[in-house]
Amino acid sequence: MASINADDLTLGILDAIEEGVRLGLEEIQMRAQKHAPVRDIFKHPRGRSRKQTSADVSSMSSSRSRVGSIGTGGPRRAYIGGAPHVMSARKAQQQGFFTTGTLPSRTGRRVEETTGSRTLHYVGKGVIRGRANSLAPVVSSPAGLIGSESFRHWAGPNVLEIGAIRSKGNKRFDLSSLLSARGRYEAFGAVKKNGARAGKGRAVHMSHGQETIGGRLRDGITIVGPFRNGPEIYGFVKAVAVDPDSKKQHNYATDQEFGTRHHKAQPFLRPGLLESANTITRVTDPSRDSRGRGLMQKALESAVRSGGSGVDVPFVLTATYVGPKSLSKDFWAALGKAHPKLGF
Amino acid sequence: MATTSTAIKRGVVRHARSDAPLKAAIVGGIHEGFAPEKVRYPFMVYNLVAAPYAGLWGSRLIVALVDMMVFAENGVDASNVDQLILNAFDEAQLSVDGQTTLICRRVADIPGGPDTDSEGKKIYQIGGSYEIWTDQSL
Repeated sequence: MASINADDLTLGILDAIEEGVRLGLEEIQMRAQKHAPVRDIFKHPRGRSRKQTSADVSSMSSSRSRVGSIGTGGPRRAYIGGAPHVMSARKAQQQGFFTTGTLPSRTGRRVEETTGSRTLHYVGKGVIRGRANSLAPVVSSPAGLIGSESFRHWAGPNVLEIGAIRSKGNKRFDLSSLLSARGRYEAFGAVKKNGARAGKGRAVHMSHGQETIGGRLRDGITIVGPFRNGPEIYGFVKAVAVDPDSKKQHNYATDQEFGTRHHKAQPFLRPGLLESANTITRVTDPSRDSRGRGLMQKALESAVRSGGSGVDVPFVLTATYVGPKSLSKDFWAALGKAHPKLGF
Repeated sequence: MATTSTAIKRGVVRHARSDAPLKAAIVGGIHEGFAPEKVRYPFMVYNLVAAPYAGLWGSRLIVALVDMMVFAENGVDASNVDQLILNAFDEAQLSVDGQTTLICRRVADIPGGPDTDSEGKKIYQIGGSYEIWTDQSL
């Protein structure tokens, strides 16, 4: 039998459980963020549902991975004033982007605008058939002609790469024409009496140091804890999203989760929790190969090192997710029953 | 033939309709997710939150979480209908096509304050989350 420092073992196990709880919270947070609805601000071609498809999500995920975007694989994100990974068109070409940047087959009158030494080509308003109310810009870049679909193919269906293609004169290509009317309101605010936009819409907020359109709810999903209260270790995943136009500072995350009279529920927190159940069990179970592997063994080995030396450990501890309310009682009771000498 | 969580939703509606007191109380009917503007109060709304699958040896377990809420013009009506929903569904044996109901129970109340509808009337929203476990052989 090993000689064990019981205090070290207790602290080690608590550390291990806390780590497991933290990993579990991260798992729930990640899944909830994937489920959290994000405003759809872009126009869609005629006949295509505004609802994001699984193909959109997967294509966006790979595109974002390629450009090293923040939040790879997450829901759609749109930047104002250039994404963190803004690059020149030449560099983008060198890295293999824009390979499908060809002029759409149905194009109409071109509008040319010269800035510095470069000419930007737009397709005039209302001349592209097969697309409702579309301005569908096409831009000439060193990599060739690029249409809006190519933008989407490259950057994902809801990513505004405003700074991605810019002329020498640093004049940015206005991609607001890719936005739906609702999207323009959300991004640039209401139209004032003089016809100008208010500036920033209510969907604009800071995320990862960038002004972002949409995703306030997703970014508002955070972890609180884990905390210790005696042998009890717990934490929360919370969602807070307040509409800046709201005088009452109403948290609309609740409305999304449970729905209202005016709005269908789009649950994100509880699906994240339910889908994480198996993973939480895995990460807190040291007998399986996962991120949490060996947490309990490490605690035990540490205790053995403190209390004795050169002996074999005669048992292996395992941890099982038994639910947040019964964790302390059941876990400690089971531990005490299995190892009465430990005195739990 | 394997069935999905759609069968569970169908079972929920079937069970609600088969409960006479509940059916009589929800004048506006039963709606999935959202009710049209002109529906009369009170009415019931259900929404499938999540239904992860768990594969067992030779069978499949579906753990479905379903929100069931009532919208009414006053809090008393809302609470009364919510109680009827609880009576009908808590520890009930649902009839689900192709699946055997293992558990159907209320696991949480849903927070919801009064809201105002398009005419400025206060609307009370009360409900609960129900966990429905079903099993089906593969």
